[in-house]
Amino acid sequence: MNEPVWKLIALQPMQQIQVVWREWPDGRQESCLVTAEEYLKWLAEGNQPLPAEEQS
Amino acid sequence: MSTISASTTSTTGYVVTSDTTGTLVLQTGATPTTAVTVASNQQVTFAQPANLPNTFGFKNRIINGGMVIDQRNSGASVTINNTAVYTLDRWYDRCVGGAGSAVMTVQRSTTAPTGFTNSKLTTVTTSKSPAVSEQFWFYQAVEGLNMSDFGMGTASAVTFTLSFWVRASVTGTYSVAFQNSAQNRSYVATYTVNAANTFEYKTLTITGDTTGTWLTDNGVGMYVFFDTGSGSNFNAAAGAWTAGTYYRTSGSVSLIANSGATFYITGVQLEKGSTATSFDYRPYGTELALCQRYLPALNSTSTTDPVALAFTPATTIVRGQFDFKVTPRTPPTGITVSSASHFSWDTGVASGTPSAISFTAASSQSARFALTVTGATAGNAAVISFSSASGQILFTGCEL
Repeated sequence: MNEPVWKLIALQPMQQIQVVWREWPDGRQESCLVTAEEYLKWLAEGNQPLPAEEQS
Repeated sequence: MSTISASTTSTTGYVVTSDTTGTLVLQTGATPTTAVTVASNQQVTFAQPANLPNTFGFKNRIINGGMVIDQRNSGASVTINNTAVYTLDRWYDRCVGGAGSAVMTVQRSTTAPTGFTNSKLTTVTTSKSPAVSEQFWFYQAVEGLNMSDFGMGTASAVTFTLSFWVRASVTGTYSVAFQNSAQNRSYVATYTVNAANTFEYKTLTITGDTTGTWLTDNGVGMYVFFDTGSGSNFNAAAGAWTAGTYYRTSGSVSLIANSGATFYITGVQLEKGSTATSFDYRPYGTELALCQRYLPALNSTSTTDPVALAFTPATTIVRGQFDFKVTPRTPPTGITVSSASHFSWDTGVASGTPSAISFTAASSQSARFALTVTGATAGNAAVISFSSASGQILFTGCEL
């Protein structure tokens, strides 16, 4: 299955490092810090995350 | 009692006295003093604390060597197609040969030799003759803190022994490689599968490396690689430490080149000394706890299993906190959940199913995560539960 694109999540009050999130077609959801090795590897392959949504 | 005394005066070096009690006593010292008594019923008594090789306790530095723990997949088959993934707990498998052109599956199997209940099964589903730079292997990385007594990289480096049971459909010579964290020191050793589809016990004794940089902290102390067909760029002669990254000898079997090939392994043990001792059967709870240092995880067993206490900082967020039962190697950096629909939240006055779950932050004690919801009231306490028996939450980033 194709690898889904990571999406940035707006920084929450208790967070110091931003988080990214993505969902696979089978429903599995992954999220990690933007400093996590798996996300950095994905970025290094030339990928770009989707922007965070505006907070209401 | 019959006595054997080490003598400081007799020219024979020892003095023997005997009777018919059936008890044997060993004595040492200038004034012969009993060190060991072997009673007629074979009970052995030591006069002083025993100083023995590490043949018990944490003698096996491999975790989940019996392939029993599989928190991620619970025995389900994992297809590895042009990627590298963690499979059974503590084991990392690589099959990168181009999408669709080299594919294997890995799963926990119940096919095992006598004395074991499980093994790790690799099956080649799409074969490929590997290119020179391609890597096919699986490894376990032993944490430096768990093998600092090996003295690797010093003049005091110890001899160590790897033992395991293997059953392969392809006979021939296979390779194992030991490497430091930087993968710039390698030792390739070989073993032979003599009979197809038959479990065979193998032992390999390695002289420790006296050079190179070997971590003794919570990083990789040593990689233990099992080659499944890496390219020739990674060939080296067996039996010596070499600078560089090597996984195999040139004559080793390339499992990935054999469509339908199967490879079972279990009872993997890495221990100090030049003798392979019996497998270290640790209690299941102990082995699971050892694994959870590298993969904190929750798998549901029902549709109501509690997950975490929580609160509602906003009408659209339920934030939970999970306290680790085992201190992770390093704080997790993310989570993977089976599906948001496998979870539920309840404040007592409102409840529902989240649409998304995301990591918030973690320490070495706890992790927080957020459920995206509708209909919550800000400022309430809440509970988060599994709503599916297939629910799973993995805290990622702790593995080596």
